[in-house]
Amino acid sequence: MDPELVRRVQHGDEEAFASLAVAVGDRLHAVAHRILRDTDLAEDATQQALLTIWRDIHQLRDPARFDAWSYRLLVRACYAEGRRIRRWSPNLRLLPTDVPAPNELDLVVDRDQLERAFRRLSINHRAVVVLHHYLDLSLEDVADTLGVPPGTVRSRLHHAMRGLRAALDADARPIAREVS
Amino acid sequence: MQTDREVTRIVRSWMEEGATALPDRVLDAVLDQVPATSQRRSWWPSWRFTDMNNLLKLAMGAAAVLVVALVGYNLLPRSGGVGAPVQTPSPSPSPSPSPSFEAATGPLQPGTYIVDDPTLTTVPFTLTVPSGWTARDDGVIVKAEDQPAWLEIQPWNVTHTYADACGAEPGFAEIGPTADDLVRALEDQEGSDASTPVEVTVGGYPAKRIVMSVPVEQDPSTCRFAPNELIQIWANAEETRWFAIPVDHASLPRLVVYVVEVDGERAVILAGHKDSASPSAIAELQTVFDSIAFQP
Repeated sequence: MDPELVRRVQHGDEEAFASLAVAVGDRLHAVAHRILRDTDLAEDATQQALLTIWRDIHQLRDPARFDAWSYRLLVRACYAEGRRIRRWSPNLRLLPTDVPAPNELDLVVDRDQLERAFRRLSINHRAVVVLHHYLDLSLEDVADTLGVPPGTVRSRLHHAMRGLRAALDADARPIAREVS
Repeated sequence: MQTDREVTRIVRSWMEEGATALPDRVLDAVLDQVPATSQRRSWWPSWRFTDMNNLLKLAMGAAAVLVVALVGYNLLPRSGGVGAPVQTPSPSPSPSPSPSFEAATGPLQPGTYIVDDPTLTTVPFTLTVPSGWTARDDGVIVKAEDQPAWLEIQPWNVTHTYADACGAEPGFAEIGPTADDLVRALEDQEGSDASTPVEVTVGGYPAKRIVMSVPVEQDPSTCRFAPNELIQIWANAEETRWFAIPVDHASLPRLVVYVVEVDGERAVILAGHKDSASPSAIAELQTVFDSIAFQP
């Protein structure tokens, strides 16, 4: 992000903010959508993050660090929307079943399986996966963005990928199914 | 069984799918609200380098010596924390910082710094660091992060503790404003163990030192915050900054809670180090911690 544009926003320039919002809106929305896995929630989180950027931009001391700071605000907005998910989601649980696995599922990785596995992760863990594997941020940059130690990021990523892997393996051998 | 590389490839490929463009109506809604949304003016920077003159530096050094002389050293390996047993309840003199400041984040030059961001501490304080320390922009001051000699000091304005450190939902417990209120909340917290509070002094003020730990009977795999990794102790209201303790301290420092009573205000500071830190590193942490001087 152009530091000069950020400085203009810090001086209360609404036109500059409009330019900035256009420049970062798609990117923030893409990240929110991948963390929350829900179009409406992602739009709400992005809207909230953009408004917070406008309101709190004086807290950004170094305009060159705008990208990391904006992602942090976005993830914070996703946490808030994630709490809404927990309030409104149906109670899912896993039950054992004797249904045999269709052979073709042994080899096919279906995006629905990954979707379900990802949704089982907390927002904390999803954010680390998205920032690292979608935005390609280094683990150090993820830590910097989220304001947590690199060790915590490594721990969360390890836990998340272990969960995804286990779920993919389990879903490829459907000894369980989700019921509401 | 998927290999790690396969799982990563699948996840990355899957991440590329899905919505990216922000609908115009959302952008319009944001821009419509901007004229009616005031920008917040910034507080003082959380970390400010105090451009103290030599006399003040001398006074600071004398104050630090006085505090050490009054309370003596209590090194970390035995106590599990920094701080010293109470021998005098009287506050130590603290010098006033110069009004000339500059923001300080990232690597810190050796010197004395003031922490006065109200989101980080209810009572401003100064502390003096030697070379090698870093101020993260979340207010944490660290040295050798992620390394065996990892040292850390965290100022906290604690407003919300979790009712259950292993709870399935955030479940904040309301806490009162005093130091004793927080101590009681930690003692009452489900899913964690709080050590018996030990009376110490921090910056010349009475404080209680508490070590939080994961109960042996606790199954950490069921904990909401980070199953098998961390249990939740407290957070800010937005849950964007947390104090959580690891189930296994191999990769993270063991932080000790100091709840300080400063003229009726509650100040909270965490301090600690990795178990692998050397005695000299621990002594350095002790020195930095002993340099804390509150500015009520």
